[in-house]
Amino acid sequence: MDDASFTELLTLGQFFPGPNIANVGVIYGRRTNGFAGACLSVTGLYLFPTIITIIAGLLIDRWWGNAHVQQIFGAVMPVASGLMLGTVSRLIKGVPKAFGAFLVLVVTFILMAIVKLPLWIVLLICLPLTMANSFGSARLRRDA
Amino acid sequence: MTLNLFRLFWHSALWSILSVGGMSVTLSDIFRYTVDDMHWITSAQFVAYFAISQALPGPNGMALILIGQKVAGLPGALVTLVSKLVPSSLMAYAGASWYESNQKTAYVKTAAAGLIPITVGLTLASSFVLTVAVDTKISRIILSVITAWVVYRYKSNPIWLILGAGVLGAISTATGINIF
Repeated sequence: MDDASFTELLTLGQFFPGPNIANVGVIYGRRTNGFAGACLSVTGLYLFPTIITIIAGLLIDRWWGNAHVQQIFGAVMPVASGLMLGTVSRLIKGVPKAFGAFLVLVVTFILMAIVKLPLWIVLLICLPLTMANSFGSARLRRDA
Repeated sequence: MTLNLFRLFWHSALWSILSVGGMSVTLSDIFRYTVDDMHWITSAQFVAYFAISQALPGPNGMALILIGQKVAGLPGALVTLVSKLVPSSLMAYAGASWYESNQKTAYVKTAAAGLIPITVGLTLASSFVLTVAVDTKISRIILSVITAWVVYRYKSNPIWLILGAGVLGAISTATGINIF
């Protein structure tokens, strides 16, 4: 597979909900070996990371109360939250520069982070909103 | 125990279907349910699990498996893993050929563009929830801001940043200054 077809596969994986990498595995496995291929590729992608994660979970629960561990995580946790902040800053740069899109972004953020509604309710409100905006502005562009 | 396993199953499956644009959009909802509503873990543990899943090799979103393990041991971890993977994978499996033959149409392109503001708004909410939970000291705020700037400016590998933070924390505890 070349770079271009991998990028296409990744876009495909991101279009569907769920972990992007699992979706890429499903779609690629399906193309080459059908249902068995899809199952095997997801299993292959998750088997070892799952074992490592479970062991890490046992270790952290065992040592969580330790003062040294607390100090180390005191530094690790803000870096992890900074990673998320940096990533989202990059994402914001990629949002279409249009009033409607930013309005949807802000409403989604407020309902989720400030009002703290369950995600399914936020999506129930914001999905129709963003689709109306996206299809409405596409139509405006076509008519212009 | 059985009730908790069912809750893990039901909510992981829900997050699997609702995660438009990747698992990181569900983080603030996972926080709301597991920390605020169920009190299964503290907010510090939530962020610690998130940090571990970032540092370990493998797919994103493994923090949920750590929560499942904390709530119901190994069965909890496995139930969470399977119910987080199967619904979204089935959707990708069923929808892939439709998407492949329709992805160039204006309709699908417009729908995909419409998902972007929601994905970014939800990811911003996840970032906000993590920051409020963890940045409770000046030293921590400084670390978060520097990290965010580095990630924004240069596309850096998270594993090195987390390892670097681990070294900083180790120095802090070894020297006894305990600033974090």
